[in-house]
Amino acid sequence: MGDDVDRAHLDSLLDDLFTGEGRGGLPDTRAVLVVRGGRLVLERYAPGFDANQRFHSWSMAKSVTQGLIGILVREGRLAVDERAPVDAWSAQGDPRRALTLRHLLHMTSGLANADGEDGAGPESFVATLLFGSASHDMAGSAAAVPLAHDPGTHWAYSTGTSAILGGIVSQTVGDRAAVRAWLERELLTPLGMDSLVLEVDTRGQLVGGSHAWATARDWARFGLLYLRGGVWDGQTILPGGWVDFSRTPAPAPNNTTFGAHLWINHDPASDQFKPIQGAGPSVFTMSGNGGQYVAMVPEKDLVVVRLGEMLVHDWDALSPKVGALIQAFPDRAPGEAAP
Amino acid sequence: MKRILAIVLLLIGGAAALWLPGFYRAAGVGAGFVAKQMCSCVFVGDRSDASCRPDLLESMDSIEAERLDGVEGFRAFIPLLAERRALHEPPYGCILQP
Repeated sequence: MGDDVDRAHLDSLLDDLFTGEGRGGLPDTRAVLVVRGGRLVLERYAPGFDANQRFHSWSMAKSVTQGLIGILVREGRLAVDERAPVDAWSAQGDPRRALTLRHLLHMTSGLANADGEDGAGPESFVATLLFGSASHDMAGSAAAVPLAHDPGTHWAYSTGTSAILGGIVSQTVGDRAAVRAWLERELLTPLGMDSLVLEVDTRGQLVGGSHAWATARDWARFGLLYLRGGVWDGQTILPGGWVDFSRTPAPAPNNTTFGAHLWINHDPASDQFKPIQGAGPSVFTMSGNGGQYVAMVPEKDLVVVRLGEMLVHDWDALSPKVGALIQAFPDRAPGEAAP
Repeated sequence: MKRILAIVLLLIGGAAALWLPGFYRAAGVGAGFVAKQMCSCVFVGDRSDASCRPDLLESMDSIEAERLDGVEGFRAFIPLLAERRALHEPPYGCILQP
C-alpha cells in the first residue's frame, strides 16, 4: 500500500463505495481493486462475489475492442487512416466509403446508429442490436445504416459502431476459433488475463460494444497495460503512440471527453458527462453501464477498478466516490518505490 | 348501427395492426435480453440463477426464464408472445439463437 496512504481514510471511502444496495438485496458495488506501482495493493469484494468470478463489462468491452484493433495495427494488418474494410460501404459513390477506422474509433463516423437517439426502450437501435432481430449479425446490422452527419463532424456514442469494429476484427483475423487463438496469443497469455471472454453473435463475430467478461484482477491487468503505454513486461502489445491516441479527445465540436474508445476525464461538452468527478484531467477510463470503471491515473501510477451494478444509474452519486478513492493516493512517478 | 359497429371494428383493427408488430418486436427484444443476460451471468459469470435475476431491469419481471434441459443455456418467454434461447458455447460466451 505504502506509508503515504491514510489507511483509515481509505477504509472509510471503501465502506462508502460498498454501501449501495439494489434489487434482491444485492450490493451495487461488487468489486474494487487498486493497482499501484504495478502491484495489487487493495482488493475487496462484496459478499457473494469473489476473485474467481467474471464480471460483465457492459461498454468497457468497447475499450477491449479498440485494443484488438491496436494489436492489428501493430501487426500491419489494419491502418487507422485507411478506408474501413466494410463490404457494405465499398460501392463507388457510397458516401460511407469515406469512413476510416479513425472515424469509427472516435465515434465520429456520422452513421445513424447512435445510442439513445431513438430512446432507450426495447425497440431502440441498441436494444435491437444486442438482444433483438439484429443480434444475429451485429456488425452487419450496425453498418447497414445511412450517414446522419458528414464523417468527422459530429461525435455520437454508438454501440453499433463498436460492433462494426468487432466485425472488422473478426473479418481480419478469421472465424471465431481463429480470433480466440489470436486473442490468446497476442493478449491473454502475455498479460496472464486468462479469464477474459469476448462474446460473439450468431455469426461468430465479436459483439464489440458490450459483453466482455473477466475477473476483477484481469480487468486491472488490462488497465495496467494502458497505464504502461501498451507494453507488458517488455513486450510491446499495442503499437507505439496507441495509448496517447486513445486518450486524446476525438476532434468533433461536441466532444471533449471521448478519445478512441476510451474516456478522458476532461470537462464535458454539453451532452457529455465527466467520467470521474473529483479526479484530474489526466485520468482516462474504460466505462460501462452499471458503473463499471477501469480508471488509469498516470500521475499516481494507479489503476482503479470498480465493478458492479447500479440499477438506479446514479452516476452523479457513484462517480465522486471513485474520484475520492483515486485522490486518497498521492502522486507518484511510474516505478517509484513506496515510502 | 351496423355501419357504426363496422367503423369501430375497422378502427380497432387498424390500431391493432399498427400496434401489434411493435409490441411483438418489443416482447422479442425483452425475451432476448432476459435469455442472454441470465445465460451469461450464470454460465460466464459463475453466479446462481437467484443472484442473477435481480440484476435485470424491473420492467423485465414479467418475462419468465428457465434453464434448458441437457445443455447450458436459458429460455426466456412471454406466453403466446415471444420466446428466445441463449446457449453457452465456451469460450465464446452465451449466444442468442435465431
